[in-house]
Amino acid sequence: MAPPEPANLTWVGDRYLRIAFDPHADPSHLQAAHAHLRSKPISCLRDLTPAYATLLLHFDLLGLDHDHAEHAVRVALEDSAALAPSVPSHPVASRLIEVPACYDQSCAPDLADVASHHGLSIGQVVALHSAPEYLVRFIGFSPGFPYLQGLPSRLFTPRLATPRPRVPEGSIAIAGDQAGIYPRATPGGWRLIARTALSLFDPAASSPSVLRLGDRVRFVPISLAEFESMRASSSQGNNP
Amino acid sequence: MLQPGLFTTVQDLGRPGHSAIGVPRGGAIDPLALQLGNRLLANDQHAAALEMTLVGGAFEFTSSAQVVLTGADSGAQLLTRQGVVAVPPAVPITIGPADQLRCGPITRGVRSYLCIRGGIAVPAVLGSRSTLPAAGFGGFNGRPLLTGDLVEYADPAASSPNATPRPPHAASHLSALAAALALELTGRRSLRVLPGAHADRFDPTSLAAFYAGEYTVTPRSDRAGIRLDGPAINSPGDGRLTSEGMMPGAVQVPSGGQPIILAPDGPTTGGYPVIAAIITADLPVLGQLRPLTKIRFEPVTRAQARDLFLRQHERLLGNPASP
Repeated sequence: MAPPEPANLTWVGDRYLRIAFDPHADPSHLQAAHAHLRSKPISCLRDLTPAYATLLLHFDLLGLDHDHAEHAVRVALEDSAALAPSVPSHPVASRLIEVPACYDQSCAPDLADVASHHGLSIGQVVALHSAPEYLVRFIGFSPGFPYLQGLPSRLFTPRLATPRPRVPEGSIAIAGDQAGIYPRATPGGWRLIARTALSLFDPAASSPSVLRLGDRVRFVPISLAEFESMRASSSQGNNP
Repeated sequence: MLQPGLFTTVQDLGRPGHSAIGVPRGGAIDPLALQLGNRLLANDQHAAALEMTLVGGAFEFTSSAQVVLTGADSGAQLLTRQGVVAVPPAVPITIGPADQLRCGPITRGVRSYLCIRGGIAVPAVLGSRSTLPAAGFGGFNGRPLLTGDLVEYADPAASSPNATPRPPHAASHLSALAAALALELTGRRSLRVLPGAHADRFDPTSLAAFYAGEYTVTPRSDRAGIRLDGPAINSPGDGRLTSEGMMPGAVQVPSGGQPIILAPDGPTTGGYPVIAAIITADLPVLGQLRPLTKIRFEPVTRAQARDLFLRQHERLLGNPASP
């Protein structure tokens, strides 16, 4: 694997440092940089937000020396790149999470449209969507919402022209080349093609987000009866 | 809680550090008002208060409490057995059992904070008592207050047992500072900014329009974002770029060309191009921008931004010797 391009660092606002990675580089570089920066005590560093090809560092402005902070970050990035594994693909320690997915029409309001958009049968869409292992690139947009990489290109579908004011909790969705899961009922513009009863976010848990950057996800088709039984027995059973 | 007002939530200084699981920092959208209220009551700076929006609430107290109202003026009154008295902003008062505090409409600014000695007692979630209404957690059961809600406040002796009473001249200095700051924040009509992450992707005409233009705060504004109406801006990528980390104060431009300023409860990542970022010292202004207010964006340098923040910090420390 070729060494990654040096990351580009820019200050945004008066206390945020934006690290831009090569968008074509393996996601493991960003993941490694994120993990490494989290482990280093850099003065005034308060939070890190990973995304597709960027890592945003949030600093406290009180006591912040911008030049010192930038230098510390550059050194950390160099260390991280030097420590990077010599083989590509996913870190050894990544987890595989199986997400039970109900593709019944009552759980998948946009499934029929997506199928006809691509000239496929519903069964073919289900097979395509549930075949791959997706990679969690990052959690964003709302608490616990995973951005998943790995949607088959035959299912790339534009987002809705008008977002729904309310997407049912647990909805499994696609938009463009992206795939995700809405942990909670929120507004949303992605196409809803399945639904899960798995709770993805519990603010009171020691690890509130079930999914995290670097995890792998596989959707496992289940029946409507199994879905409703899971909902009834899970803590989210009271939410429509 | 007799009447909740328009939108009243429990807020403290927020829960930084969880953006990687999609949880924004949140917290009081006018943190200066909250901090001053806590200082006036000798509270811990992280004590939680009630953040009221546009119309304040009415509260009946079941036991004595020391409270202070900071931020915008809600024309509050105290109803006791002896009668009705006006409650001036930023002056701590003692409330007796069965007394009622009635906050009214806010006509200048947007947010008023009811701070209580000892702080609001709700469970902490992710290390904070702030409410994130969109996600339904934090604060009082993850939601705005409703009529009939019973809100507990901590026993001041238990939470700040070593707090010594503030000398009278220092207390009145703090009250004067809180009142002056509220007047300034509610009167601000410009927001100082630094370039956003994608500033160099906007065309020169759009950038010129953005900095020359007057933008009106629309009523479709809340703790997640301030939506503006004004000169349209051509948004690069037709308003959609690859999602990346976001921050409160980011001025985003969707494809419609009308900017949205991200506020404390806004999403931690987003794909709208960011043309500018409001400086830290001016973020509290977001909490007091009334719908129909016209604002402008004023570019400053990073050195100026830092200087403004440090001067604000010094002023907040309430040293009577400071200007």
